[in-house]
Amino acid sequence: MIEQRLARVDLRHYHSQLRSGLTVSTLVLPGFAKTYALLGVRYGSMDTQVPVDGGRRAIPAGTAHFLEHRLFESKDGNAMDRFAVLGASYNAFTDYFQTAYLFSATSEEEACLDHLLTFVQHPYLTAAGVDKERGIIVQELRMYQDMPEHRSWNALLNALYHYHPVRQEIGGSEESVAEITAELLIECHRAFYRPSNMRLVVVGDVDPQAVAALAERAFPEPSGPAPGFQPPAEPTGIRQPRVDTAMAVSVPILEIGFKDPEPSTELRQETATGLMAEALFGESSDLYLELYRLGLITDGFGAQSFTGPGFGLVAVGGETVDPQRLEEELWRGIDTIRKSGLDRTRVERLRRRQIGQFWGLFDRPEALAHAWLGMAFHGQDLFQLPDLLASISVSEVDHRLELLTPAQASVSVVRDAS
Amino acid sequence: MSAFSPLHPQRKEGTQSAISSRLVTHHLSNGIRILLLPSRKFRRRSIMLTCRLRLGSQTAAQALVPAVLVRGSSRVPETLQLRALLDSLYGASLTGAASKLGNAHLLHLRLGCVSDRILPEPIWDKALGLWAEVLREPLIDGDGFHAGYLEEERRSISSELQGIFNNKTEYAQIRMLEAMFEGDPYCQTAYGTIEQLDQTGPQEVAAAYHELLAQAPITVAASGDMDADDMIRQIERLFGDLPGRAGDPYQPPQERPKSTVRRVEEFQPVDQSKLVMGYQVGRHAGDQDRLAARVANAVLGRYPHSLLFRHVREEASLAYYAASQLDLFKGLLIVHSGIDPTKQLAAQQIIEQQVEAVRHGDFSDDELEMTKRALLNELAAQTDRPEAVLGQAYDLDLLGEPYRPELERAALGAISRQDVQRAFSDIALDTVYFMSRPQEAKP
Repeated sequence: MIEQRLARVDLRHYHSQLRSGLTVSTLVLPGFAKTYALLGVRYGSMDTQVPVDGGRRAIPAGTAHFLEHRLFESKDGNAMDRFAVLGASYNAFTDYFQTAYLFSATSEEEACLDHLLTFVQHPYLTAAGVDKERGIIVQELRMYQDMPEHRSWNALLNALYHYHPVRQEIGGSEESVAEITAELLIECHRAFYRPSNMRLVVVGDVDPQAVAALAERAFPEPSGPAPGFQPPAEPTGIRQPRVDTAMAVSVPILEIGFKDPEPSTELRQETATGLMAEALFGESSDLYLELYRLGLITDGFGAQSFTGPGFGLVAVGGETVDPQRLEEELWRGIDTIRKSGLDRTRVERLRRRQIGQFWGLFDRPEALAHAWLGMAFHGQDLFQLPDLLASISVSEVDHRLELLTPAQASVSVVRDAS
Repeated sequence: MSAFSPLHPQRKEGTQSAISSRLVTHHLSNGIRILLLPSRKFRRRSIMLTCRLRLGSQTAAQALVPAVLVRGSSRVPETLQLRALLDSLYGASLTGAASKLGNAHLLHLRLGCVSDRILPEPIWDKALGLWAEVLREPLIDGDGFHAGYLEEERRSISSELQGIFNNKTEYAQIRMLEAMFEGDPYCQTAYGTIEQLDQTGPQEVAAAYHELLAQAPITVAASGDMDADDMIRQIERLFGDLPGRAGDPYQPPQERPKSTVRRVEEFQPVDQSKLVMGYQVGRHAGDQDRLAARVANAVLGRYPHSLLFRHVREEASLAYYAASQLDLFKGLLIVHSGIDPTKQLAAQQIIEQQVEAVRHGDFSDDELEMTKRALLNELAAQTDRPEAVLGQAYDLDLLGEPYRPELERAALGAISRQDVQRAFSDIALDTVYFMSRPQEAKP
């Protein structure tokens, strides 16, 4: 077990990889009443192929999400009930890279952790159960179809990427979930829910040795290598420059996405990209305040960088009464900065802002666990952030402005259908 | 509950955590109330001023006050300059907001920043100074706030109100409240209405600001690594000179006449229909049944193991979500669900059956026990979220009661099936709102 300390925030991190291949991280927060545990499986909507006999076979979109929904079903009823009996709150989610199961408890933590590590290993998948779940999932997908930010984001990824599976909806479509069967879910569970493909993150005032020992008991045996992920060959250029969506909205949405021709999940590059986006579009930037003054944006406006295996992009936008004008003003602002370069003192201030945000993470166990898990799946170490933020040069940040060219951009607009 | 958990070798039942937090209350001689939660376990410090006005014709003008205040002060007039200063203070946040508590209108001005002990240089005094300055020395332009900022904030809030429809779940709930509380200012959002905003001029906003300073009840709540006496002195230094103000004794929500159920149907081109049902509970925040009412609501629809989720979603597959929420300051319970458009009647029927089930005590011992455990877990976990503790302490202070989580814990544990039934014995369906795609356009 490896120990890391962050003395300033009174935090210790213990890390170990068990014989089974499961990676266990315990972040000790002294004085916290709540224990928050997150079990992540490196299996998300991006994993559109299942390994078979040395090769790979395509699976319908939305399979990881469907499996997450069904995993709570057990032979003796609902696996969630056990958490409820123990007085814990619990949940699960699926995103592009991962499926995660979690609980939060202030007592009976050991029983909760044991249950979390056990139920995910014992799927109870019947044809009847899968059929019933399909109805619930279709309702969920329809709800997303009524959410304009969701539609805009998916349309944007679709316009930026030709083949990379990040362009597919996490939950799939009504057509793709129609193809999902109990047999398929069993096969995917066997392939992806292996300890070598999973990570446990526990945050709270807990004993890291006890956590590791419990995980060791729950996963005693090695179970073969992680399936891995092979991103498809993706052209560096975008698929289409514009995409329009018509639906019921009262205020339109505009988003511009910039596709990174050389994507990398390396933390240094991602941090530099994040600082660049904040410097240009953040709420303390000239551009943000000018757009706000013009009445083109509200508090919801912002930029984010989003990176994973085989893809990387920066997206900026939000709700606006005038998408066309906002787009023009954004391009004008980007042009100006690309000519002048970023203001050095501003980058220095944002460096401090992000260091402050990093320390603030340790007051929020949930946010800390999620940040930790997401980064760990990308091979990143959250604790490196303060040093990185201190050492990144202004010119490195400035260099990331090169991403923001019209040739690499797709524009997604959602307008009212009527 | 376990007496001893191997995951927590140092924690035993009944022992206090090594880094305990205890609420400190204090009143300044001018009537300003102070709530403090000093604790070294947090890395951030925060301080929030809350001022209490009434919802009404001036809701929009009042809500504009915090929005305009955080744009600049007389000493730091440019927003760009103010935000640059906050960035350099390691990302200190200065935010203004408005919320509703029954028919009270709460205005908030909040500062959050990293504790000095973690940073290479102290920042608290500077950050606190900025926070107080935007409130006490705002940017004045003639006899009102800076006209440009006021106009920008008015337009921004207006677009946000306009944009509520983009979030169909929130929109459906607001439409239900508009119907249920027609003629009551509670039917508006905490930011008023677009029409109100259009009619609000600089004089109205200035008047709301002066009411805040001159007479409105004010509470200052702070948490984090701090010395309580020192913090009280700092707050006194900043606000001790404000005029004296009376408290504002709690008034239960007005009894509403029960009549036939109001029904509102709206057609929109949506894929998922929204069913929102408003109930009058007949219990309120100052009621002795309030804790039992919270348990009753939780049995009904707060958790995934509650009746609504189980019966409407899991058994009948009628909905993706079905949940209930309780607002005792308004004596209101809302059930909201996203359903298949063809299943409105079935869903409404099952929801009504679940409310009846709670009212008649028709739920298992296990269901009651799980619900109480979940609420106890939330209560214990609250100590990790200072804003939640201070929020609850604020509500209790308004009721004239101290914050005593250990008493609440005991009372919660003692709630019986009869208590739950009694809490819902007067519950009545008031309004049903349904949004769906027009008949002919169904896919």
